[in-house]
Amino acid sequence: MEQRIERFRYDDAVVRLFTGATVIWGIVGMLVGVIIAFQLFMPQLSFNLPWLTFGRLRPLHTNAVIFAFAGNAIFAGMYYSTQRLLKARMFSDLLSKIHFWGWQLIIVSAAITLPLGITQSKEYAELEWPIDIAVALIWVVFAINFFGTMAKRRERHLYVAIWFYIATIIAIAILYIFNNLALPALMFKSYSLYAGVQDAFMQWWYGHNAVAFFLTTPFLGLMYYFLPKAADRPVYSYKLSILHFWSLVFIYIWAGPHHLHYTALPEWASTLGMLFSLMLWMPSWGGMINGLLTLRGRWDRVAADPVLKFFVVAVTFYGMSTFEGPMLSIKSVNSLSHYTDWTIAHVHSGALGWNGFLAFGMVYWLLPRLYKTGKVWSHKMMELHFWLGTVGILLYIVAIYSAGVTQGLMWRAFDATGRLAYPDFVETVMQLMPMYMVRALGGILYITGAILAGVNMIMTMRMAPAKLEDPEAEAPALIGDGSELDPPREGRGAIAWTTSLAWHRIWERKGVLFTVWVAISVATASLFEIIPTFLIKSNVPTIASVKPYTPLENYGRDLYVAEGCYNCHSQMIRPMRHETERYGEYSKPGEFVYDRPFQWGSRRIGPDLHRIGGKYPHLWHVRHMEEPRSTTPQSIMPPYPWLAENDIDYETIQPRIDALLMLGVPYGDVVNNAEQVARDQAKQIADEIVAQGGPDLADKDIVALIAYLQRLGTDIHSGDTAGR
Amino acid sequence: MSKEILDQLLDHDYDGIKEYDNPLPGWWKFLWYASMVFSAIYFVWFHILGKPGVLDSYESDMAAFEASKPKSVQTLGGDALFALTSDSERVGAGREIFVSKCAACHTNDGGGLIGPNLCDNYWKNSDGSPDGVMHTIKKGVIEKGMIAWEPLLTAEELENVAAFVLTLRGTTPENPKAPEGDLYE
Repeated sequence: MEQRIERFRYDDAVVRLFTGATVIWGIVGMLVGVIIAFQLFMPQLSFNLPWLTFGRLRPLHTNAVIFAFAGNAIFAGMYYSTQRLLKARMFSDLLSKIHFWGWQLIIVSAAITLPLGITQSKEYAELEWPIDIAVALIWVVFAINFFGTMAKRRERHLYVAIWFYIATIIAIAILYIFNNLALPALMFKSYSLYAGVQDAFMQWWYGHNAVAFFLTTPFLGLMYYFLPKAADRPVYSYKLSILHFWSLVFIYIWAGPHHLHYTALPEWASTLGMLFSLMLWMPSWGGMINGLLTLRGRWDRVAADPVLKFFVVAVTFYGMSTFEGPMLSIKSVNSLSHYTDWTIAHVHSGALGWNGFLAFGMVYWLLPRLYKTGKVWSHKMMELHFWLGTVGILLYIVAIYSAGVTQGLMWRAFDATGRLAYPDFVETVMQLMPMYMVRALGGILYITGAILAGVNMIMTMRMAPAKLEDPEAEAPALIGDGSELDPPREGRGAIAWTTSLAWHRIWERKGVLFTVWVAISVATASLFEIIPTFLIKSNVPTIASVKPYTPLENYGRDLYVAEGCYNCHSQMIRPMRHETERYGEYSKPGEFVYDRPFQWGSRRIGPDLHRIGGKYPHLWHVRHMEEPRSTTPQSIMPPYPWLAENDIDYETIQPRIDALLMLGVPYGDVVNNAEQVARDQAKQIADEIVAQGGPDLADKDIVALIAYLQRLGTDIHSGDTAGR
Repeated sequence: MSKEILDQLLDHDYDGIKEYDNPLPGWWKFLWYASMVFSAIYFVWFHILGKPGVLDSYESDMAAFEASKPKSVQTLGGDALFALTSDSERVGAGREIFVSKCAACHTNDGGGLIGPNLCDNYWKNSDGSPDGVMHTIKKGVIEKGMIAWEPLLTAEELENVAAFVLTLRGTTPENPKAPEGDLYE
């Protein structure tokens, strides 16, 4: 049969857009990171402004570097490589444009809403419901564009990079939608469909797999295209690609509960999280091996080529992080590392090393090709960027590993008489100050490198010819289904056939089948954990004395969420003697049944607050919020003076309670006059503050927040809460 | 076992990228299988055979601690304790403890807030004598929210803070709380 050669053009314009956005948002996201790094030893850097506190800026930093920097890098690399690997222009130029501009609009709306305190408070899923819907729509646009391109491809078989892109698109859609299910109460306030333990479980099923399917699988896909291209070497092992791809897709999903060791999550779930993390170690290293061994025989070139240098460091950090991850998931290791900076060091070795360096290496490889300049403007500047970045990462992670281990050991230290060696939490914070300063310096070095990349990019763009034509390509159209290319089975038995992996070649030409199997892998693993967690009621034993929050307490809780208190304070006392000595009785699953969303937190920059209720008089909280250093001289918490100035928005009390009622919270008689009930309680607390010698704070936000804080963790022992 | 041939190119070509048909590294396969075997054993051990888990080890930690810690701390009492109120060094040390641990409820000058006023002659949880004050400090008033300090402070610290509290009686706090309990002259 005569094969018809088709001529077409790749759409590089959209790749240029995504590449530029990668560098710009990268600098913005890292700048926010550097600011909050400074705030940890200079709390006055919040300037007494609500939108500059650590609690509001930290989500902006994480969302910006994940979804804006890494996100745009992924899209740039995927749009470039997908077209070439499938020998086809993107399915629709219009969809490409909608994808690009829609995504940037989402980033801008995140950058506005997060500092305003509009947040769902679920880590890396902070964006409120209207933006969530926009994210889902744009993701669908992207998926249609990608699978449409796959459908009109001129390459028979799908290359490993494409497998990873498929996994990314499918898994992120599932994860994002199910974790963000929430009932809107107001235009910018929703309540999670899940409560307490279930909410925590869903969040970390998502949170862990955002790392898996947004920061790992797409970047592995990029590695599989750009690394062999830059090195001009064949990929080391096709078999390894197959095995580590499928094992990552299947195993990653299970590992989420390792973020919840020693919490109120059922122990079997926590164990699954640990064991699947251990089994994930080798599949992850499969990617590292394939990356590094592809460079065999090219190490001379690595020394001279900054692009390859970035890739080598990226893949090395990938290997280190994916060893460290399973190690941190071992329960006894986690008992030391959890809630400390160790976790922060771990994610930054992954994010700065693996994601950051792979992205920058890719950008430098793309620039001369996208702008037809033959070279990047300044080779020296690339070299300088590489070294600034590498030293920056090392300073950052060494300092923060030390901080994490130091604080973890101080928390659990007992003296000879069996008492806590450092009973005041702030003592364990003061120890970290020098490490925090070194970390900030590391961050400055890293962002300086990123700024150099920005300069280099702009100068390279200026070298470009006035008119950039889309590059031409040609390939024969596909005829038939390609089954004549399938490996012969030659009477091989079922086992021999399976272990030979030859069948995989058949899957690779069947895009729909391949995608369905990816979806099945992701969904099956999810359901194995999710269904039991939701169905087995005994997983969350109820506690009769635990009652819903009053309308005012709930409003105060919403303030706690909006201020992002969870970024520094956990609400989860683990069953360990040093924790129960320090904070009180360990947290029980039944105590969180009305927590929408859960507020367990993941890092203790300040102490745990689960049993803060009743620990201090109202007036202490008033003074502490106004100026934390008036009650704790060494505190690094920013002041919250606006809480004593802003009035409680009583009109929103009823819709909040109505939404919770729809979610099944048993409010009883309160339901129809939530506002009056809230006013009464606010008056009572405001009067108590005056009686304690404090100012008149009637109807101010702080009264609601105090109502919530004084309730925290007290229900378990109070038979006499009936009067509330 | 015959040595497999390395670096055999496959007939794959994706935009110029080729692939080798190299075997899986042996150590890689070994570690992967080992992680699966370990996981199976671990799960069976803890969740099928029901060996002690996280909460059990917490309980046993606490039991071991309870068994090892001294049941009671020997401190001075009566006149010997009262005599410390004229030792300015010990009273000063007691004030520091009081400010950091007690003031949240009793205020810095003992005027009372959540907890009762310690400067007047009315006492609700003891008779205000040196022994009575020491008893309340050691054992706490659990039902009212005051914790027992005996397990948390050394003998000397308990004496210091008791001595400080005894000096408060008859002083005039800034915002005195209304008297509670019975009058002891």
